[in-house]
Amino acid sequence: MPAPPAGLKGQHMIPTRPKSDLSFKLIELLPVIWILALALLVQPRPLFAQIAASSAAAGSTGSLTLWTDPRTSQVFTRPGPGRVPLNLGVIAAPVQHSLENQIQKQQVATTKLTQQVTQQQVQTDAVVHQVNTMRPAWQNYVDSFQNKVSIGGQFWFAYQYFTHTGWGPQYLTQENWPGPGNNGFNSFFMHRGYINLFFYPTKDWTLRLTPNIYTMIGNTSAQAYGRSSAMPNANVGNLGYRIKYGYVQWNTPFLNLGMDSIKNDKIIVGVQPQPITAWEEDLYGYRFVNLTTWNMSLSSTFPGISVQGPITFGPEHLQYADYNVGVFDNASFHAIEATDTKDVMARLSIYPFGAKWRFDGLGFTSFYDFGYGNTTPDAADLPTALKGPNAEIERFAEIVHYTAETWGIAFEYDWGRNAWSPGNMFSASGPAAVFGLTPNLPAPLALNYAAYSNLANALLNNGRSYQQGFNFFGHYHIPNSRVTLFGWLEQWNPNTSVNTNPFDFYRVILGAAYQWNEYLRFAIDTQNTLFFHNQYNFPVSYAKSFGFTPPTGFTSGSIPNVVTRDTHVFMLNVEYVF
Amino acid sequence: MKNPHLAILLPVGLLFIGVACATGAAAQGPSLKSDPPSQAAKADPPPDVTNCAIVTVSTPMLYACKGKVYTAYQLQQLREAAQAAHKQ
Repeated sequence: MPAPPAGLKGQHMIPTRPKSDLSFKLIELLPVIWILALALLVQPRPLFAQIAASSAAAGSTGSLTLWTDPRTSQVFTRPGPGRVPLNLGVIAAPVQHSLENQIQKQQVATTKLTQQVTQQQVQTDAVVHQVNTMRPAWQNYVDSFQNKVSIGGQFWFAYQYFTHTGWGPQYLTQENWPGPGNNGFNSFFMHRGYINLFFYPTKDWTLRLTPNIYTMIGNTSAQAYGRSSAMPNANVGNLGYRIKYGYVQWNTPFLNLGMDSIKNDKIIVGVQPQPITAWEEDLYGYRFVNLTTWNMSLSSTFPGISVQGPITFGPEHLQYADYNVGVFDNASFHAIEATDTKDVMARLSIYPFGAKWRFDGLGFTSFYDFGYGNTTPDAADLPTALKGPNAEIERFAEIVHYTAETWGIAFEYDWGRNAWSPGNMFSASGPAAVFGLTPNLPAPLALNYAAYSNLANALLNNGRSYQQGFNFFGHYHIPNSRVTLFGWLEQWNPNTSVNTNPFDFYRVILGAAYQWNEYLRFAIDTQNTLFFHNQYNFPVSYAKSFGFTPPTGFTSGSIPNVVTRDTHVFMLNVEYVF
Repeated sequence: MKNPHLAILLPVGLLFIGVACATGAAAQGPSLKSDPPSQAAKADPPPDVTNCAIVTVSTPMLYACKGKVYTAYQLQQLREAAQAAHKQ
């Protein structure tokens, strides 16, 4: 006997009857059971019980009517006395079929979705794999970013106190002071503020960009602002930024030529250091205290192209030579080129015993420069009494140097032709008339100063002047201390063609530096420009042989007191480089 | 020779160079010969920047110490590592 179908709550499908009627009732119930079973199956079958015709005809869920005796809870398939209808909801066969179809469709759709999900998972796995593969490469790039970019800086700052102010050349760039009569003048000033940017994504090329500060000084006027207003000139004294270096460097032009001696040499194109100044500054080591000799008249940086590097020999690759040869504009990095010629400069350093590093041991260095004054060709052809600005220019330096790791010493001889102008002579401070201005002085004194300025132009700017200089420089580290003594002793003759040139001077610099750490140094020093001739009056007749023109109203036979006052200054210097 | 000072400066300068060369040759840095095994076995202290020569004042700052060239950053690292080891 099959088990009664579940789900008929409260309905006793198996009545409690006397035993004698049991078999009859079971037989009577058997169709009911089968009908219910069939009704719940998928296959539609005709039922003995009445099915609601309207709902069955509509093809949706219908109902099954049975009869039950409330007194006995018996269920019958036919109506009878005392029996009441019992309606049961059944699913009509067409509805079942429809549902089956829907279920099938849903199963198909589910299968498709499952396949899509599976496929999506495969794709996701693939993407994850790709990302995992990419991440190491990305991380490698980021991690090695430091090997592709260098960012550094140079900061030079100083305090200067003048016990005696005078006219003369700068000790440092961005440095100026008032002339004679201003003893006690003092100031803080920044004279270098590099941001060094080096980019080398590939090992064979390097890009360098270095902005640097400069002091804005110039005659600029106030600006009108509307009909009745104006605003003052605010440029003078500002520290602006300009490009100091901007060049590309080919690191490996000679790497594959089979010449081991020059494999590390380079070619540089752009605004770059010229061959002598930066090299000598590194040799001296105290450029944050004072300029080197030719840097007083030759800018450190020019646009051009150069080839440079060490020449090494032997199994230890000792450096036996170091050179730098280049072609540059006649105009420096902070001027506009005007000429139809170019400036050629070359330096060669020889280390006869071989050098383990750049300046190691004994070295002999020669430098030569040939160029022209920065004047346009049409202006250069104009006849003038003083041809200095249009003349050929030559510079030569011969330096004998010995450098150890804790001390160094050098002796330098310099020779030049038309390589020193009044602008160089008075780069820090000079008579107003040299710069085309009228001094605020009594007329007779102003006239004498004008004559003095014209004398400076005649002796230093005539296009046939010869320069000569000698200097010692060196340093010595005091053992077991952080202190190094240094000095620069120089004699400079701006024009050796002049007998007793009033502009001849010594430059004497002595100081001590304290090395705080690998990046930071301090120095205290005394710097002095000493015009070493005795005071005298310069004969006008002799001055005219150099192209001297007396200023209007000057009738004296001599220019009085032509040896200008000395300058003495104490400085505190700071250098931070990384 | 026009300038009397030159008569003094030039020979004095040459004398300086000669003395420097003689002194420098005697006080030369690390020789090309290898150290005896007993000395080589000892750990050398890190180079002190105050005992080094300036090679380049640029980015990076370069120093020559005991015949080798270091950046300022390398010297700093060596110094700090030695200080840390000394504290331990």
